[in-house]
Amino acid sequence: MASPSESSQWSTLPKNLLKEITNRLPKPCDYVRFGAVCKGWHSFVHKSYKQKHLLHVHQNIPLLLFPTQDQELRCLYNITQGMVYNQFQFNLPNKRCCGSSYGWLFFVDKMNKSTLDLILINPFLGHSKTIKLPPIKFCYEHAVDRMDQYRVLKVIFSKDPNVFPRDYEVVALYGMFARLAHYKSGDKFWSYAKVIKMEALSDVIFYKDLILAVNRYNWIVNFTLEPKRRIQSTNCSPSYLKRNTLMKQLPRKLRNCAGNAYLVENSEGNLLLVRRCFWGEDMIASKEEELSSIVDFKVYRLYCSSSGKELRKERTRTLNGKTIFLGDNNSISVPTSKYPQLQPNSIYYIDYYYVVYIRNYQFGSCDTGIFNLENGNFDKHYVPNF
Amino acid sequence: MAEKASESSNSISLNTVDGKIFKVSPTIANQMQTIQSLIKAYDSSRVISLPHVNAFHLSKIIEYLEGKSATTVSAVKEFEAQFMKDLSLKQLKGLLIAVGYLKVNELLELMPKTVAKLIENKSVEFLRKFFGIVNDFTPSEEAKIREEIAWAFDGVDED
Repeated sequence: MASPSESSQWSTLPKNLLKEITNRLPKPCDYVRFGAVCKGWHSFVHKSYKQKHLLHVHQNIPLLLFPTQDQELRCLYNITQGMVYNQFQFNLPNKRCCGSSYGWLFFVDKMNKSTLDLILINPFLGHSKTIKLPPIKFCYEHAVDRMDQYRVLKVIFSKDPNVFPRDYEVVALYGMFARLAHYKSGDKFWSYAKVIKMEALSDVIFYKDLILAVNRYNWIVNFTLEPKRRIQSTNCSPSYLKRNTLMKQLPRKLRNCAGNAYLVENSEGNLLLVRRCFWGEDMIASKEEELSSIVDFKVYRLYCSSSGKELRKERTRTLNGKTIFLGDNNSISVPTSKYPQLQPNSIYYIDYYYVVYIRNYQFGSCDTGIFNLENGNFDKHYVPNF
Repeated sequence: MAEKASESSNSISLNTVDGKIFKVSPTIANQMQTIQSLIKAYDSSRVISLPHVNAFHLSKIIEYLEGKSATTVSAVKEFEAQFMKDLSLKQLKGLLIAVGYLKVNELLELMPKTVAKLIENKSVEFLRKFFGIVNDFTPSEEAKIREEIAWAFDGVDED
């Protein structure tokens, strides 16, 4: 072994020690700079990058994307530390980000009368890492040109395409009535569900092997990919999405309508339904015109029937020590035991996009906060300062 | 120090690469996983040879294992801070390798954390100079890496 007086050979440290050191670099920017020091460290970082990236995405709670003084640049906000990472300066499209999943961000690249192009950017992998998907067929429904970026409500991945480049799926909720489209890596076209008027899905998740979607009236559907009986043209997908109702919707009355609804898988693999209510029942009775800020969240645990064809819901008033993150992102649940800085049994939420859209908030954030499910109290996680 | 702590009859003898023999108590020896498994494999009266560890590093490890048994949490913290402060960068690297070889779990927590703290928010140039590492990338390789991770180069500390 080298004597202590011999010149430093940090570049040739054994891999297990490099791992011990880099595991303690919490910020991705420190980690990638470490890999730029010399060939030895670079090959270590490069080899373990996929794993590290996966760990980062799966073990870390979401970061909020933030505007900076420069319109073109955005930085990150870390909720656990209550701190803006100014050293992250991401050059991203200057438009609404319509969802995030496994560290990837989705933007509407361009839209014309019948198609809509999505672009996927992973800022953690550098500018060169973008994925272009085939265009989504889009029916021109009273579209307003400047609202391109609101045409897609949410997009999520089944797996990280950086780790599973040949084996990932994408689903998008798009259009005026929030319909579902599905894409599998390698396919030439998206597959679509048959049109139902006023479907208006509000959330979708990949849960175990299912694609589950919910609307604001508690309608929960499992979408399965089925071959088309008649293939009319080679210019489209040979499959379509079939709806299988797992929970029937409530009668379409205002009191049954949630402000928004989300599906979440918690860290134990249980399925939760979260209903975000913008108004209380007493308010509906009295003054509907004053429906404004968020009033309540209700959480239900969903149980599958033995046949697997139905879901049953049961109201719960605790998250068993977990914290849930809801927004246009892939819904996330993390055990608070791993992140003592987070408030347990709480829901961290950001604006529901549609509210922002109709009010046209220039600076985005108008309804973000923390809701404690056990005591019903609201708190703030970030107060914008413009 | 090490010799003193091991007057008891069942102490374990460790022979470093530079020929120095250390006698340590089983409590200390068992905190080095590699030695723990060697004790199990060998007859306990035998001297265990450590061909990858020198006397300086072993004495530091024993110093740490004895010192961190302080009574209060704050005393342990203070001791750990002083222990790390007393090491030069070269000593830190050598000791880290020895600790990795002997698998001293607590030091495998403390030392990489200390090194990570040194790396945090530092520029690539600073890290090369600080750790005495020669830049072995070709200019075109380096340019490519910089382009790939340009976002990570802002906001580092002043060198």
